[in-house]
Amino acid sequence: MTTLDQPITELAEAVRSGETSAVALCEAALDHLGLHEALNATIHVQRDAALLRAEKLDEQRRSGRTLGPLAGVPIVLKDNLCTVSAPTTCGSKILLREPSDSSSGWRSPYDATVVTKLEAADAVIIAKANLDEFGMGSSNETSAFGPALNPWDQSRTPGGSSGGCAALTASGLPAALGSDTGGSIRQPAAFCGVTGVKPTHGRVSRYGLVAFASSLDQVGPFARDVRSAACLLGAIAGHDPRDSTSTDIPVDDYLDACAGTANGMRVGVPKEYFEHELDPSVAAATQAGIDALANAGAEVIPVSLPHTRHAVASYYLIAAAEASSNLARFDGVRFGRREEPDSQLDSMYSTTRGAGFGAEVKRRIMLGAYALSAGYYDEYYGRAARVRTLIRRDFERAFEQIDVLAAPVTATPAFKLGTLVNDPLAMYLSDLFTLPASLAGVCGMSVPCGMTPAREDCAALPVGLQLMAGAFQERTLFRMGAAVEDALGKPTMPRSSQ
Amino acid sequence: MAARVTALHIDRRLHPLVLTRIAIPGDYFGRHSAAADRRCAVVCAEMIKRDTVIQVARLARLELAETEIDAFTAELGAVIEHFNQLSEIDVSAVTPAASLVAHAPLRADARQPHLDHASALDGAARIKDGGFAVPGFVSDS
Repeated sequence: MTTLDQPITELAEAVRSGETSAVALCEAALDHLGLHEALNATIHVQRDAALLRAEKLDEQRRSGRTLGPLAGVPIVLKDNLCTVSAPTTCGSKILLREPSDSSSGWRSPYDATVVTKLEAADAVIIAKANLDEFGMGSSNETSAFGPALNPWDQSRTPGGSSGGCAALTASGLPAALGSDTGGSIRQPAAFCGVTGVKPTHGRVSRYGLVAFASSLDQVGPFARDVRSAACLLGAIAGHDPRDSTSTDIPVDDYLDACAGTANGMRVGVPKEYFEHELDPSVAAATQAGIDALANAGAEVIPVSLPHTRHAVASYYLIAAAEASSNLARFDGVRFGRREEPDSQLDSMYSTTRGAGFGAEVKRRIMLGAYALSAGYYDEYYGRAARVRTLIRRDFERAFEQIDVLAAPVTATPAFKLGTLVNDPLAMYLSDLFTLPASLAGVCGMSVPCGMTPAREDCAALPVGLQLMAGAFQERTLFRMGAAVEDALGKPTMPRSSQ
Repeated sequence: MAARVTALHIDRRLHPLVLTRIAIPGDYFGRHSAAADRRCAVVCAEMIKRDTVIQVARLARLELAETEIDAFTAELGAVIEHFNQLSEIDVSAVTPAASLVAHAPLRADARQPHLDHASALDGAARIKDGGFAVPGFVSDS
């Protein structure tokens, strides 16, 4: 019997062989979403469009067409990826015609390239997932639709900004596509106990990903296991002439890379990531992941990334500066809502943006506008861009002596909702371990490496191991991720989903 | 210059959140040696004030409620105070990394399929005469 929690390759093979149908998988996934509504992880479910597409795939199979690598696999998209078939809201009121109605969200006239590629691989897109507004947040609490909840403990964050994607994958759906600007795939993957991959900047097209910070944004997969994530990345990676930052470097066979072993690989452990105060259970699980690689024959080498502590300041200046420019397009003219208090153009812009954006988005636009304003540009944005070079050099030097870096994703397991949302600086500082790889433009992965011990007042929570490899070295990432998974086993499912 | 030197001695503990650092290149004071160029004089000055928040919001075309202005004054002050740690690093010989793009070929400068007119207008709140309609911004007089 085919069930949704099987690896993607098995699900697709079951559909291709006729053991199950795309419609059966689609119906099971839609039922799953209904059963997990309490997670508040979806913004829009496209039931009719998904079933129609699944029926079409089944019909094509019966007519003799060999279906693609994602045949009939139900997939969720973060709601900052443009789709013709469903509204795109970015978790923001500014893209809603009616402030409290998610179905009144902006309708994109085109599909994101990753959506076109998923469909070319015969996947079925079933829903758009909740996220921090425009991807700005680390807990999903800045969403205009309220936070998604962590399926392991619903009083806790699933992480952010791709919190809905992570929560749904952890709850038992096969896979999702999210986006990672400063950790928005890796951190929620760690908090929810699934595999999440941030590809190298330029590996996956950003065309149709609503821009937050263009030099950092990257689309990537969430999956319940490393090989499924490899399969999904293989389907969406590649050059796209519609994205000027997309590279024409050939796409490797990531699934094949998972067959490699850790034997003889050099694993760098950056000391700066362990100087920070780590939750003891996170430290223990991270060490277990590193030990698993060592036991599989990898050589563990201490390394230094000396500019790590400056990553938060550098990232939040660069990302805010880019966001203040990218989000200038949301002004009530071409998309979403409009407020016209009088007949003045200026007041239409400012009133629309003031009413449409939430507090965190406003805060980042303000930071960016401040950092770019006359007299401060060199001191803030210019300096941050130079520090980014130093951080990148740290990685380049490290990769001269090692193949992959292994480190914690976060200092703590998933935190309680409400803990950090009113302290922006504390929230930003919680991203410290994921930001350096983003600034350096290398690839990263969070792979489950253990659970915190269950306590009377808290369920056991997942912990992720962060693996980082050089630019376009995703093969190494999957090889080592698979080695961790093979040694430590795949995580179980939250009790609410079993 | 005297005022700037005095500013160096402002006690940061007495001015929480409203103090930040401005790097003044060494040659600002008339020294032109390479060493002086690399050295920065660090000056404390009041910067994130309520008026600054109002001014930046105007630049960013964001209407803010009074309560938001108060909140952002404190929050942005704390964040920018953290950002100022970057002034500890000597980056005078470092090239900025604005983009990390490599091996991204330019596409041919040729006509490509594009959105039709109606689709491009479809998301707008108001359209008129085949274009995006906005309040008038050019005076007739």
